[in-house]
Amino acid sequence: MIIVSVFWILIFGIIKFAPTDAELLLRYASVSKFSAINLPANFAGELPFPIPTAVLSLFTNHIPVNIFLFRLPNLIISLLNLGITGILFSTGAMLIFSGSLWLFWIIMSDFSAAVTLLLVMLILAVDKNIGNSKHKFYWFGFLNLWLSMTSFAGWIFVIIFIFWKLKERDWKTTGMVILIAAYAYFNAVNIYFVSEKTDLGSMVDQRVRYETTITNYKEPVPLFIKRFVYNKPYFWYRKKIIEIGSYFSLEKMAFPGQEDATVSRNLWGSKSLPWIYFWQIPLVVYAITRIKIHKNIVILGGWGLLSLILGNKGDWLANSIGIPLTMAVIMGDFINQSNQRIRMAVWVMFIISVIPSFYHFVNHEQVWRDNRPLVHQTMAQMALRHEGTMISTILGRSFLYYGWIKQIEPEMFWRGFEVGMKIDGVKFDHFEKPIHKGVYVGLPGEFIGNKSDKRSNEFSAIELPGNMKLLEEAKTKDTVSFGNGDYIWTVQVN
Amino acid sequence: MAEAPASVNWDEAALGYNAYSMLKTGKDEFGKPFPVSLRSFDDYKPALYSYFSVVPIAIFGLGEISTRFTSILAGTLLVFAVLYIAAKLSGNFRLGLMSGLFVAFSPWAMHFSRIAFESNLAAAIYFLAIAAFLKSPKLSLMLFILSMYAYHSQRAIALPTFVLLLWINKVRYRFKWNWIFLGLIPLAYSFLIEPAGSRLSSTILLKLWPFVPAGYPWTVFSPLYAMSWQIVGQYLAYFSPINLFVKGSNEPILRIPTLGLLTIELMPLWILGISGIFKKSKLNNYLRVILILAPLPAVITWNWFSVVRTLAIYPAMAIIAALGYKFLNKFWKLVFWGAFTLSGLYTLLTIGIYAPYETYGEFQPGFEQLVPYVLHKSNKYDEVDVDTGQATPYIFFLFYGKYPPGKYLSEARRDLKHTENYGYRFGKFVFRKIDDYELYRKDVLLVGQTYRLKDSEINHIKKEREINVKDFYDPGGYISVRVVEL
Repeated sequence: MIIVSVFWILIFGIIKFAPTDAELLLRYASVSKFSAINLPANFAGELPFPIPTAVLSLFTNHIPVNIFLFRLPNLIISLLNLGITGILFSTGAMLIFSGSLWLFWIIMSDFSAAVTLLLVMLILAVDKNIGNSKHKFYWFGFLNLWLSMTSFAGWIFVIIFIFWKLKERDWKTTGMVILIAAYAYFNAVNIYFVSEKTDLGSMVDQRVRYETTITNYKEPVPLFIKRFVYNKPYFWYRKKIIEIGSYFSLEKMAFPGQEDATVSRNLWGSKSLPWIYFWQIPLVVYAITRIKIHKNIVILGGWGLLSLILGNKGDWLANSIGIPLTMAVIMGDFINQSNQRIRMAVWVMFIISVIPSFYHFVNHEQVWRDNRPLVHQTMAQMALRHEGTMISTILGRSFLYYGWIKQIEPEMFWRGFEVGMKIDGVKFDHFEKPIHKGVYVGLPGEFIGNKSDKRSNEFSAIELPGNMKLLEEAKTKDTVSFGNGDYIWTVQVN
Repeated sequence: MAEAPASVNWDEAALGYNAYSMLKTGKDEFGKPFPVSLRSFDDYKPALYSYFSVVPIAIFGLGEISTRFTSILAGTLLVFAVLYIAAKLSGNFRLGLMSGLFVAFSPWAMHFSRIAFESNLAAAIYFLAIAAFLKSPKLSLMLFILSMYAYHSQRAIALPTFVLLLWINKVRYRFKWNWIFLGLIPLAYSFLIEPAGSRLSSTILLKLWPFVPAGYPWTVFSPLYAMSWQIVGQYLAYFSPINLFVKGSNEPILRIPTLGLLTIELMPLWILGISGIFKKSKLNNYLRVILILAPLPAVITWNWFSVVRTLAIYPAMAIIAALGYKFLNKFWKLVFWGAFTLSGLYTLLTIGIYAPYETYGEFQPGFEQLVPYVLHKSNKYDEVDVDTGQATPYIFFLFYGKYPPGKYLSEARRDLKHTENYGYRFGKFVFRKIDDYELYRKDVLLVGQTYRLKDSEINHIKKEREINVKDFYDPGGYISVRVVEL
């Protein structure tokens, strides 16, 4: 598995999985040697957490940060995670966890989550293996301080740790970690708690909508009942609890593409992956009734669920990494106490699931991922081959990718960003049928008009006006191009 | 009852009119005496609902309330059956009361009991059969067989449920095969001779075979693995909290705006309750039988989450939530009841008032005013042409017009396929596409939508001669149908 992982990440991962915006921002922060980072204001909401940035800078300052070694840090940390899982829990848990696409997703796209997981497991290891209370106290302090500023999920674990130590009546450690959590909250985490105000505002609109609808349609309900039921706190409560409820979806976890389905769809062809293999759900439910539920299962499971519920919906895979780990631990314990036949059955199912899933992950990536990062990366690579270029931003922040591919110094990069989006002599903006001379990299629709302008779905270089010449063409793998065609064109305008 | 949902839909109208027809003539709308299945729109509805509706229709006359009465009664009986089963098997009346309460205030039960729906009747009989098992296996078996005449799903699970109940209770029951056979013969006849059996073949899951998209190598993506994945998924969909408590059904008519099938407050209780489902107890044994069998009729079809085919599972889910209640401490019990009270009121308001407005498009409101008007006006005409846009509009003319079944049977052109909008007629009513130029005809009553009977044309004709135009509006305030007297 390890050999396969290394091979796959170094070869397929690099070719097929272009970095995401979040990954690039983290890299920029780390190569800026951490303290020098000065992200523009409109990136503040995406500011990476300080600890992963610092950890990554250990790599970026000593290893050439090129595209081939891009995900090496993720891989090293994740292999450490797997190793600790084996030592701390069981070999079965480690093997099950190693086959989880959820873990591989983290390796591929979220360094912070990988570091978070490592720190969480180190805390559990310290709890189990260090007897000396003084040493334990310092280790807990050190690890919790790091963890609290590693990711949102990390901070949630620190909160859980506080309750854990409260239950053990370890007042000293509890007090210390409360201070750490508070420090981390004001320094790194509070930015994630800003959406509530707008939520409450929207509730007023919803109440008005309901009342108006009912009043216009029929009026059999006395006003005081409507006011009693359709009140702002109740709508807010409903919204929140429905939001939380929507995370409890087996479809989301194990049956991709069926979440809003009425008629069953083909599971393999879906634009998602089975984060948990379907047979693991009943197995875990059954295993829970058969194994001894120890403290670590409760802590990890609670952590996974709480981070899932409280975290940002878009980051749910990274936030709830505790869930697959908990499931792996439960299955590992179950395997340990099962007879040979049951073990065999589990491992056969494991192999049958892992092979096609990873095959799908690597070979059919274009099916399940809207590959906008790859489009940006390709645009950047095409631009490198021509002088005096302008790159389109019609699909997003292509300049992040150009800076990454060209290995531009962060300070120079952000300066360029602030002075009219011109970095290293390359301009980044939308354009429409350009008239000024130069080399442009963009989608066909930007040169010859989009689908609705042309009233046609076909884009051909023959349609380019006389002053334009197609220099290079690449196929896009992103499914959304806003009607501008499925190719990336490099065009010279004379 | 008549206004929420906004009107009867075509299936309800068919069930009601067939009951009316059986009351008046002893035959269904196709002239078949004592049918086991109603051919209706070639969907072969189980006929039991219509048989049960004969009495309320005889008492109250054909209408929305009398047609929905059986479902309302079934929903009420279901609550008491659940209460009895949970109380009797747990020996705890409060648990039974809570289970009944959770069913009574669950959005699915409120909504389905307000629609004339065979599935709701079948679920009620199924639970009555389980309740009866605690007193008399013989009565229970009779009810299980009866439930098979109420809805398709029950045909797959009723007898297996009975057998499993015998097994888990270690009851030695001497089957009287002769009357079991007698009870099942009409059903077997209907299934084998009538095209009713074709419904299964058209909806079976195996239609998705090989379950792997074209171009994927079978050596890696085994169709057997993919099929297992699909089947397990379809089964587990009925245990997916998001489906039960947040989304509910996506299907028209079954959709309850802003609500899941059970109130969201029950979700934590349900999770606590289901975690103890493997523990040994008499109630758990019964629940496990229901949980294993109830989703099966839907699992073998290609629907992902079909509420209508699995209605028998949701009362069990309410009992499971009631089982989870005991894990709460005093504070959380107080919080729960506060939230549940508000949610109960919210559910009542939503289903009773808000939903009929929000989902009126899924029903066919307007016919109740339109049809009597058209019937009244039709006395002066030899032909009434109808093009209302809905599928099978003829059934609303029969239903809301209380059209005499004997007369209909003698007039209907049953040789014409009438499951679509066009191409059917009975008496002076012709259901077909109306063309623009037909507004220039004379001595005909046209019933259609405004895109057929356009304002511009009507204004033009009005300059030449006097014509009478009457518009009917839907709850959204838009013209749903227009009647033009030419």
